[in-house]
Amino acid sequence: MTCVTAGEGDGIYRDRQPSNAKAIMSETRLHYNDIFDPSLLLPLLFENIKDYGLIVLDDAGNVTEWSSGASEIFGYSREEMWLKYPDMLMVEEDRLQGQFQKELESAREAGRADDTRWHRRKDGKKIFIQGTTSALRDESGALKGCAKVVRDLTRQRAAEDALRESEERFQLMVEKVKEYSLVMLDPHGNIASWNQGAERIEQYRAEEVLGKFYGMLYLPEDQESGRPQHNLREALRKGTHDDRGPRVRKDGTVYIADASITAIFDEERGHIGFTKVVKDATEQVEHEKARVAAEESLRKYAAEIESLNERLKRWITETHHRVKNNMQVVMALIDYQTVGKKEFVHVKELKRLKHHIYTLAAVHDTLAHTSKGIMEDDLEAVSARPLIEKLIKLLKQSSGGKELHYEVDDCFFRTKEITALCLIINELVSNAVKYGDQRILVSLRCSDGASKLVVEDDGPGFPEGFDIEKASNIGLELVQSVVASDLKGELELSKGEFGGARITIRTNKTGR
Amino acid sequence: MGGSFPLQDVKVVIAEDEGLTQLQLKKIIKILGGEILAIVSGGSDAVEAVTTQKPDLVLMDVQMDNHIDGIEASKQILEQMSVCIVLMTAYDQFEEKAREIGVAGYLIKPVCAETLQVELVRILSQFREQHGGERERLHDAHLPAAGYRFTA
Repeated sequence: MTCVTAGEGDGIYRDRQPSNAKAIMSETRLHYNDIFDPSLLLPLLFENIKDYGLIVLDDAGNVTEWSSGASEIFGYSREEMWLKYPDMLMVEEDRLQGQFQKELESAREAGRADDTRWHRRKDGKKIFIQGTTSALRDESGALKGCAKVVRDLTRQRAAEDALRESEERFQLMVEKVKEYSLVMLDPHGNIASWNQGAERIEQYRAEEVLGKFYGMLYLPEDQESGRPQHNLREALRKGTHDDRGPRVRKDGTVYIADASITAIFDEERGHIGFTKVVKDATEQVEHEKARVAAEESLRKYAAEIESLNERLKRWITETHHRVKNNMQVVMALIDYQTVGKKEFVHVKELKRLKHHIYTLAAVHDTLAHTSKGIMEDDLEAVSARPLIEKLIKLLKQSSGGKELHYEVDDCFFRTKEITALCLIINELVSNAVKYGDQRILVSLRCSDGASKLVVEDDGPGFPEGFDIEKASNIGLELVQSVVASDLKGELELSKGEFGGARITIRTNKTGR
Repeated sequence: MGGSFPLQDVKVVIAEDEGLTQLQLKKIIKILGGEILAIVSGGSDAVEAVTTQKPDLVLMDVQMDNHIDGIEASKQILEQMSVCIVLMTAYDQFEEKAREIGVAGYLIKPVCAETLQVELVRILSQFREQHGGERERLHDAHLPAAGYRFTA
């Protein structure tokens, strides 16, 4: 017994399909059944509808009619499905659970049953089918069978699945992003969504901020000045507004936010809110500051190195000059002692020369090993005291046991002048050793930009009417020349405190 | 005039701010027979001394304690008169500048009596040849080859 029985009726049009039933009914005043035989139309229905599958089942649920649309969907022909129980179309799990039987029972009880689930095609592929099974009953209510209309929704389901998965992934991404605060605002700037990044950066939990104006994340002074509102207006005006600035966390600490607010619109350009993306730029700002500071330090160091290089070059040049000048002094001393001499030079003259060489070496050595001497050029003033002390210790070695006292202030001179000063002291102390008795005093005092060098002994002193210009004392001639030329000073001969010779040299040459 | 006094009758101004070198030069010039008109220790004094006393030879230090150094002093002198100027310095970087301003000779310190004798005679002879002077006034048998030569 089939669920559908062809209708019966006699009529003048029953042997053909009416092209315009309404017009014919109007012309002929005949009843629809008089002019229309459904049994003629049904095969066409089964043959031509491709988008839906039409399946007719007998009261046991076996297939009795199978449309070409059903063949398209499931891959089975009408012949293959004839009198087959359709649970073979279900996936194994549903088949085992008797889903088809349940569907039939629901349809029989309620008149219809909707069922949307995965099925399996003949070729094994899974297809997603939306189906409605309707119970077919005659006028007496007796069940004649069932009809099932199915539709293949595999593509739509795949698209929906893809969209849903994409949305889920996006939502998950938004949720899980911790580096960025990703927040949705409503058109008024109230917080509508809050991700983990926002929670990490701002320290508020979602329930603490949802529905509140996002301006709460700004510093109080920025809230007062209307900065949050301004940023929203700018985003609305420009589409996106970027703003780097301080924000305050829940615990009150301040951080630097790199914020980007974008206005969002619906399809009809209606403003529906904002997205707000914030990155904690504190570290970046600190790095930037550190980088700028490092660059600044680098520039400073480069400039210092450059300056040191320049000073070093100058110092090398000056040292070279000083060494050559010292050689010139030695050469001048040798020439001074030897030019014009016929054969021999007295040993004492060689000793004098030796002392001068010692003096020059001591001056050079001291200047080369003091920071002043190394790093400052020859125009810089340095204290003469350490050099004179060193020289006097040297002179003590050849003083023949005489007492050599000294009182030396920190008087500052240029290196060339210190060299001259040491040469003078060397000459005068040598003279004092020669002519003095027991005590020799060297004194260097300076005040008010002037200095006074005194060397005196306790010997017989200068003879009455002594004229340095006429004297044949080589040492004094040398001293006089050096005082006048190198120190631009004045030389004075007098009787000393101990009754001996006193030589006083006054000069305005002092660096301090 | 004999061979032992090669600078006899040559009038000399010494501009040198180191006392010992002053003494050295003074002694050498005297031994060679030269006449020292003035010894100064600054550039301005050198210009004054040379332009007023008109020597035959000027021994000029380059770096002196004055706002005018030996190069500038030489330049000012040579703008006013022709004279044989010999620059003496521990530096060699002023040689080109010295050549440009027309200095006759350039000696690099340290200098000794023997070098000075040879070089001063050579430079002065050369200068006089170039300026129409009398070579025979100089009396040194060991003149080096002619030509402008800066040497230590």
